[in-house]
Amino acid sequence: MIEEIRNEFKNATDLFTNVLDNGFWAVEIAYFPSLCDEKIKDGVLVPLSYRFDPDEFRRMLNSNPKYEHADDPKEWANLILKGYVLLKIEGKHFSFKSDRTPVTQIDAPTVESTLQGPQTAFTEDLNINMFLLRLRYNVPSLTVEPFDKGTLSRTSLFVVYDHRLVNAKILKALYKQLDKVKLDLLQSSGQMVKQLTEKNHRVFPTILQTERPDRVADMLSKGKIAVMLNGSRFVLLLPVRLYDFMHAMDDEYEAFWMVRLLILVRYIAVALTITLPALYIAIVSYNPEIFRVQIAFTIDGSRAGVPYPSFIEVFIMLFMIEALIEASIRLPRIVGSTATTVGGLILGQAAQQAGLVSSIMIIVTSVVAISNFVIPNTTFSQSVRLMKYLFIIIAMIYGISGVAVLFFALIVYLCGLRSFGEPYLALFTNETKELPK
Amino acid sequence: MRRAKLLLIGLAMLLILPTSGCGFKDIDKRFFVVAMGIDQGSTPSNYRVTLRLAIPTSQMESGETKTELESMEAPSIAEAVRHLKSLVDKELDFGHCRVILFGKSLIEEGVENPINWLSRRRDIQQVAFLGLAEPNAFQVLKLQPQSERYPGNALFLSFGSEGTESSYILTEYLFDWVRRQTETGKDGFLPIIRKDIDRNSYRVDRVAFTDKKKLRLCLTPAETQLFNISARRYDKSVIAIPFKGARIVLALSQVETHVSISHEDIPTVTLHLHASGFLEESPPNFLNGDIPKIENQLQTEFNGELQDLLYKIRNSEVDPYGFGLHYLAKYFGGSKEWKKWKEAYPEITFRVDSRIVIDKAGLVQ
Repeated sequence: MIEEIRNEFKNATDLFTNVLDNGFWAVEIAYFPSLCDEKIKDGVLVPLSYRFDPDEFRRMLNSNPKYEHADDPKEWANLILKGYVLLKIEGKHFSFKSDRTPVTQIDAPTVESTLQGPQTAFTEDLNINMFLLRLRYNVPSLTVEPFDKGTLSRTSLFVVYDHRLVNAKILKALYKQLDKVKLDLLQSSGQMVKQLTEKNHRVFPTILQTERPDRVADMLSKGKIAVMLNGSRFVLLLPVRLYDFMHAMDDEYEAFWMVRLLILVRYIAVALTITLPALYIAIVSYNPEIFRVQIAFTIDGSRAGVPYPSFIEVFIMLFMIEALIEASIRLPRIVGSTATTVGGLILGQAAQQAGLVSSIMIIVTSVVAISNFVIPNTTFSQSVRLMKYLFIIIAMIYGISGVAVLFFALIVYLCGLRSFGEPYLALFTNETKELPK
Repeated sequence: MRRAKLLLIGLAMLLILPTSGCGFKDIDKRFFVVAMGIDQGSTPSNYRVTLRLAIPTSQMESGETKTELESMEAPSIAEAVRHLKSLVDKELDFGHCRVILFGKSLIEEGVENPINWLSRRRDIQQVAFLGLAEPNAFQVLKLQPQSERYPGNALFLSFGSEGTESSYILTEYLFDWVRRQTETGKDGFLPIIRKDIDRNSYRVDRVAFTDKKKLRLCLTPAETQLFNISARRYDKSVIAIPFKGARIVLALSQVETHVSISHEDIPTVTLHLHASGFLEESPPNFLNGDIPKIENQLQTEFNGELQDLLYKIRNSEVDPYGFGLHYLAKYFGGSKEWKKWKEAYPEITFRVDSRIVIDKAGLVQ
């Protein structure tokens, strides 16, 4: 056995192979020490060495669930890579499961924090994630189907759903998409989203990524399907509607009317962040009569020193704000606040005083930036961030009527969008499906 | 295949580029017209167009606004405006032209052509306020009141209850006036705008009535208020009568009117009016005064004044109340009924039936 494994892993110097001879048996053993943990001592080494009893050892081989027959030589390489120990005892091949699981702390959510909701987030370990989910949604009908994806990484993933509630058609569509997945390295849930999304549906996300176990539990109870990935903090949820992206988990936990107000604020913020820069161009350069007289004169006065047309002004400010956002993600946390101060306060003020942009444009830019971060979901927030540029270009050419038509076209597009066959912009879905008796 | 598709999309994009909208012109390259005046020119066939243009500043303070006045005479308004463009450095923008004034001499002649131009131009707002300028629009627009915070706002605020709410000021919009010009049985009215004696503010306290063609009648300020109460149901006004050597002033808080017209050879128009309010001024120690008696006196006085006003309006052959329209609407009038009404109008009788209620004495004991 050692010969064959050595042949397969020619340059893997960290592979440990040996023949353990305790005087009675000569046992061949092969494993990666970096992938295996201390269990190997209690499970293999101690019973084989000074506590050795052939009968007891045979009993253990048969009864311990960690021992399994591994008679197929083709599987060996795969098993070793997954953290199994391969043994050849008395001419038979066994695998012993001893994969190392790093001790993972469950920490608080970082991108979907709530004020008073549960403060746990998924980890990068699939088993702990499953535990976190079972903690919140533990019913016998919870179905977990394991898959392996990625030709090199062979990342394991779970498709989780409640089989009483799930829509079989959607499940079938998901399996069909999963079959099509062609990846070498599957390292994050975002890659999986790209693979599962149809090519022409890539402007707005049709799969929700979340790091909150309570959201997954909530969605499972509504008959949705979760895809959990090993090595990723984020769980995919499908099918979803636009409203799910605008839904913060706080909405479930806070007072009724307050939540309604916040949801309204969120939608207004989205409308503003998409259209405000475009409206600025359209109104300032095409239809100033839409303003009240006062504000028209104020803008007129503050724009008097600006040398460039309104759209260049918008592009200058938006480039600055996008660069600032991008920088604050990449920068280490300690330097982060410096970047915000320099960018936000000093540059904004200076740009206006230098006559590069008007003071109203500073307000527009800040409203756009702040409104964008009101959206609870990062993926959706980025789609919205992208949409505003389309609006700006149209506003440059067609003015206010162009913005209105494009907004209509956007709604039409969203209406046509499907998330695994389910309408994306559906206002109402039947939330309570009847349970079979 | 894919490249062909991309090429096709690119071509389609190129095709929509030349179809772009109504001219990209930044706000700082536009000259906003805040008020427009139309007068009769030096010869009867000429018009004199006066534009008040705003010069914006980023800091706005009272009395420091800058405006520019440009005036041009031409045989038509369109020509005058085209010519005016050559006098200024930025594109004229009528989008914020909220006030349009007609000179008195022009109204006396008729304003068919100016109205025609105003209704055709898409950039003239139909909610612009109309007014009759005395002695002429140029003189009125020349005035720069001290209180203006941004160019032209003293005139905007006078109308439409946006700023001051006075019972002497009537607001007439362009769209309404154009409708009244074409509506059978209803005539237009225009507030008269003059310079105040101190030359520091506008004075809008009278109203002028026009028939379908030209000016027919101007009311006094007191009559203007009466017209505002009875025709526009304006409730921020007062009714005053002398009483035991002092004045009793009733501030109205609610006015309702209702018109009924009889179907006789010479129709009788009855104007029912229900008004209520509180006493703003009365003789001292009046708290337990004889309220029904005062109400009666108010009613008789008011009835008499309003009846006189109605007859005065009737005698000058205008119908700003729209009694004719009311009559036609009530009796399914065709052209025959209209002819009959027109013949009977100089003869018709008016009755005013008012009910005035004093809600509160306005004082606490």
